[in-house]
Amino acid sequence: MIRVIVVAVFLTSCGGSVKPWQRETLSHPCMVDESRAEELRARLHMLVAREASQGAAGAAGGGCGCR
Amino acid sequence: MRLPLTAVLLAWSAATAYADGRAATWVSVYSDDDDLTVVSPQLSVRSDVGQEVEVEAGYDVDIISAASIDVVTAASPRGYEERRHGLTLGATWRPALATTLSLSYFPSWEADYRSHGVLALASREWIDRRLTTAVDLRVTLDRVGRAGEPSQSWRDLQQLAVGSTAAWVFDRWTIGRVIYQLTRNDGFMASPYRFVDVTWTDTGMEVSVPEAVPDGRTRHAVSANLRRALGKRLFASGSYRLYADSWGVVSHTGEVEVQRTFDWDRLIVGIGARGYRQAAADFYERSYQAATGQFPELRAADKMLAESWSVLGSARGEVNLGAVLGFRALRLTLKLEYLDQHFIDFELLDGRRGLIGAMGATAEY
Repeated sequence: MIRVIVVAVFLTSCGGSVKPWQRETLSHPCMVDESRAEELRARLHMLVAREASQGAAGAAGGGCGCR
Repeated sequence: MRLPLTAVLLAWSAATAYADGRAATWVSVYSDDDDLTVVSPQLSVRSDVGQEVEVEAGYDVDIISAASIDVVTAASPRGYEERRHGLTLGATWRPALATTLSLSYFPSWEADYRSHGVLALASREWIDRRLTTAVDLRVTLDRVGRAGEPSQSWRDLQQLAVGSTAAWVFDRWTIGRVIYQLTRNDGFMASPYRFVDVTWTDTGMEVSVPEAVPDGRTRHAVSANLRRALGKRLFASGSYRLYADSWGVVSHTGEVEVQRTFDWDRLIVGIGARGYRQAAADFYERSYQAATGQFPELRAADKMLAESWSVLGSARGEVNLGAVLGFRALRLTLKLEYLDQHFIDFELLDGRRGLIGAMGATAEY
């Protein structure tokens, strides 16, 4: 329980709060993958055919909280 | 396949006739000094259906022409040409502002490969939308064979992948993201075309036998990404990925990108670099030897299982044309990449250098 509280305090205090009207930069096309979905998909497709590694390439996406 | 495709397109146009959405096309051409050329056009459309639902459809093709030395010796005397077709059909539901559920189906087919895949994704935002967590589940059922052979002789390959993502908004300029993915493959993972040369040590005789690799493979991949706005017009990102699997392949991937905007975001110019290094699979050898009449149980002639490293440099430009041609916004992108790949312990090829040119258009309506 103490660990949960510590993590919650850390998360809520890290960098201060970011209000909805402060998310303009976070939603910029240079900050979100969604605006380049086709480009990134083509690149991933090319690399998977040339390397033995795969996975953790960002399929889940999201994160800017600016939708 | 044409009839289902037409039906899907008709249903699509009826469902989304007056909806907001996005249509995008992307064409890339890969060409390297190992005589491999791949032309890959793709088209995708996304549309809102009501307030909470978004539907998506996509189609992509790979037109492959190869005459690589290892392909020539393994597959056919003159290399080969083939096409791979892929479809994506998906829907996303947002039952609440902070919750997203999506499901997509992505079949693909070519002369010697059939694949049916399903991806389910759930994500939710927490703590004033600063933390985003997501889980995804991907299942693919594939059939692998040789072109021209009856499909009854083809073999199965299944893949199950589970991924989890946590993204955190540090401040109004910085986002960080960590992803872990666990993948399990079961079935036929060798190439039906590839043969491995084995030298019998006491006679010196060389024999060619089909490639043989394990029937199961468990893969772990974890990546971390940090993205930051360095002022109003400059953006930077960096990422690292660690990969390890049950075949002994371990790899490290690092990537950086810097983007700069001009003319009130009408033009975005970016450069990027990516470095990759992998260790060989446990059972991979440059050349195989065995006693007369014997063969190594596991053997591969796949350069992707050899120790290797590569660097990739990229430059891209994106122009936002604004509201033109009846669209709410139209963006055009041009990209050029250079790939330098080195195989440390592969007998037939020590490396290849490739150029990738790509262009795309995205329209919002």
